[in-house]
Parts: sequence; structure tokens; C-alpha cells
Amino acid sequence: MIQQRGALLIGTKDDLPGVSFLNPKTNAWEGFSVDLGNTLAQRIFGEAGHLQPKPVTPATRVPTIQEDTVDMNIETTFITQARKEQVDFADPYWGSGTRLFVLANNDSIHSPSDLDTKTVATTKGSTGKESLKDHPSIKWLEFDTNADSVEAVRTGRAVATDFDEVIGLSYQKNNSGFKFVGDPIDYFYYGIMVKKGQQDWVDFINQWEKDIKADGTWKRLYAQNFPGVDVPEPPQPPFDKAFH
Amino acid sequence: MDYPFRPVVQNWPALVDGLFVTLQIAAASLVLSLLLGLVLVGVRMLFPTVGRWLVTGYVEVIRNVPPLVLLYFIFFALPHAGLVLDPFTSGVLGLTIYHAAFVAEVLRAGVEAVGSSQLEAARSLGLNAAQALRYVVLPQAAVVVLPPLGNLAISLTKTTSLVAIISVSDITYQSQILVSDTFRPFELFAAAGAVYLCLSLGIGQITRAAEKRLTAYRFVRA
Repeated sequence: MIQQRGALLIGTKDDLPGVSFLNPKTNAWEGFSVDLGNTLAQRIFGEAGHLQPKPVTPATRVPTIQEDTVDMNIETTFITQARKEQVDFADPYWGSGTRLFVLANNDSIHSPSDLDTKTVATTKGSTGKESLKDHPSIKWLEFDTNADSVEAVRTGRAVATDFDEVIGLSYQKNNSGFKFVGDPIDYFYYGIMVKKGQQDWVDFINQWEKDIKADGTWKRLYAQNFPGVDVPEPPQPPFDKAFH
Repeated sequence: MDYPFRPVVQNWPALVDGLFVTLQIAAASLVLSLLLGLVLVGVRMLFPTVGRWLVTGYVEVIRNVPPLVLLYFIFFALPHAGLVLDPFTSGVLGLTIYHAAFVAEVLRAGVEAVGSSQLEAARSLGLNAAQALRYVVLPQAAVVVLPPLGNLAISLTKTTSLVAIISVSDITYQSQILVSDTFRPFELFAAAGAVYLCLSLGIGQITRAAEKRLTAYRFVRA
């Protein structure tokens, strides 16, 4: 099907510089997830230029997989039990802790318990609320994109938002004025989502992941997209770093 | 056990909460946009040069901007100018500003349909401009404007769904949240759609009933 169409369709975010980003200046897709997608498309087609990213949000990324709008989802999608019941995941390709993201001049928030009875922003369909479920007195404002959640913190409607350090890394690329506080409240692996019941496809992706992790491609693309940041080791089996 | 529409049945309290927020935001925006529209058309008629110029400018700008952009502007841009409004207020404000432009146009058309000779006759009887508007022009215009205002009310009710994007917990927002918990978009959005359908049909019925009442005099006095 992918061969006939002549393009590999991936769902990914368009608002995370460094991770997956549709650059409004050049109208070109860029970022670590996009570059990884390109190497997979290259393996399928034997040449470059067959990757077609489609923008998705945390609220739309699972439905677009289930409805065959895209062939796979490569972005900052945590592998969670709830999602595993809806879609299949290939092996973890990346990972991130979840931390609290606040204004740089905010000195009153240090840990999740400082958020009790306060308003916190998160993104519909993300794990932000789940990570803080032990703090039921938090009032939630839920937005469609991470950018809107960050904006809610900037404008003071929410005292904090909680999301992946990787997403914060991306925001800090273009915005100063924010900081992470406290220890990670969660750690998850990022996985590539595909529609349920396609074991051949999952095996193919897993083999490609093994190869790019082993031959240095993974580290090279990471370094390209996050200059000045220490390049971590790619996740390796037995994939037991996640909190859950 | 799983069955069709289980996410709707199991989560009905959240959906009903959302319905109440939708009703509140629709009612508040409808009343306020009718008032603002009335003020706009009044300003336009009472101050023929400056008023006309200002109101036409307002209508032309607001009518040609998507309501979503207006909501984003109020919610995310105004704070940069120092004005931070809570999500509900931002939603009501955006919907009011947007729909008032249409209300003003509908009312203007209604007033014009009555004809300037009526206004002149009223003024010659010694009524001032405001009195002429209140006692002569508006009662006749009401019959003309009712059907398009009914359509506007329906359009406004449906447009309230946009406020979900600025985190107002209306029925669309609640459905989105439940979809991200249950991954069952078909049933949840079908239910939300059915709610909007019922609300819109209800408003249509009310408009028709009001229209019958307002035009009853034609048959009684004829």
C-alpha cells in the first residue's frame, strides 16, 4: 500500500522545533522525528524524498492511526497501557521524563504538592493529567496544543504545565523565560504507533530501529537537531527505565 | 462488558456538565450580542455621519474575521496588552463581539424595510428620534428581523463549540477529553452532535412560535 502510493505518511507534531516542526519560514519539515522518518522511508523506497509528514495533535494522533489517515506516528508519543489497547507500538525509540514547567521567575513551585488547589495547564490527550493524578485538588485547563498550554502559563492563567523534558527542550530553543522545576514525576518511552494487527510492519520498524541505533545514525541525527545538548544513549532492551 | 455508546452512558455526568456550560455561554452571548447589536444600530441611526462610519467599520471588520481567530486574539493576544480574562469570559466576549456585527446588520435591514416615510411621519407627530425608533419603527421591524435572528441564534449556539479550544469546559471540550481517555471518538462526537442538533431544532421551534405571535395582529386586525 505504501509502495503503491509512493509515500510514507507519518503523523507528527508541527510545533516542536528540534523534535518535529513545520518551519514557517521555509515551509519544510524538520526535526529529529522527521529525520528518523526520512531514513525509514529511504529504507522502504531505496531513495530519499518519499516521506510525507502530516500534522497531528495529542488529541488526534491515536484516531489518525486507527482511521488509516497515516501509516505511522513518530513524535513524542509515550508508550502507555491505555494507548497499547488502541494501537500497536514498535520498540521504544526515545524517551523522556515528565517535569513541571513554570515561568523562570516563579519561585513558589518546587514539587507536585505545591500545585494543590492551583490551576495547571495541560494538553488534551497527553499524559499530563495522569502523571499528577495523586493531586486531585488541581484545577485543570486543557488545551489543544502544547504551545497553547505554555501560553496559558506565560499569561498567568495557569501556574505550571507538566510535560516531557524533551518538549521543554524544544520550547527553550526559541523561548527563554521558562524553567523546569523538581524531579521528574514520570518517565516514559516514546514509541512509534501503528494500527493494530500488522506484525510484519512492526517487525520491519523494529529491525530498522535496531540498525539506526547500532550504526550511529540515531546519535548523529540527535546531535544535528539538538546542538549543544549532550547526546544520550538510544533506548536499548530490556526497556525497563519507564516508571510504569 | 462493552456495548455501543458505553463511553457516553458511563460518562453522562461530565457530558451534562458540558451541556450546562454550553447553554450558559450560548445564552449569555446571545443576550449580549442582541444588546450590543441594538446599541450599534441605534448609534448608526442617531449619529448619521460619525455613528454610521464607526458602526460600518465595526461590522465590516468583525464580520470578515473568523470567530476562531477572534477567540485566539482575546485569549492569547490581549494578555500581552495587559488584559487577562478567564476562559469563560473570553468565550462570551468573543462570541458577542462576533455575532453583534451580524445582529446589527439584521436590525439595520429590518429598520430599512420599514421605510423612511414611517420615521418621517413619526417625527412630524412630534416624537424624537429615539421615541420614533422605539414606538414606530422597531415594532414593525421586529417581524422582519425575527427569522434571520433565529438563524443567528442557531449559528451562535453551534459556534459556541469553538470555545473548547480556549479550555472552556463545554460539551465539545468534555467530548474531546473523554475521547482522549476512551479513544471512542465515533460515539462521543455523535452524542455531542446530537445535543447541538436538539438545541438548534429547539431554537428553530421557538423562533417559529414567536413569529406566529408577532404576526398574529395581521390576521386579527385585517
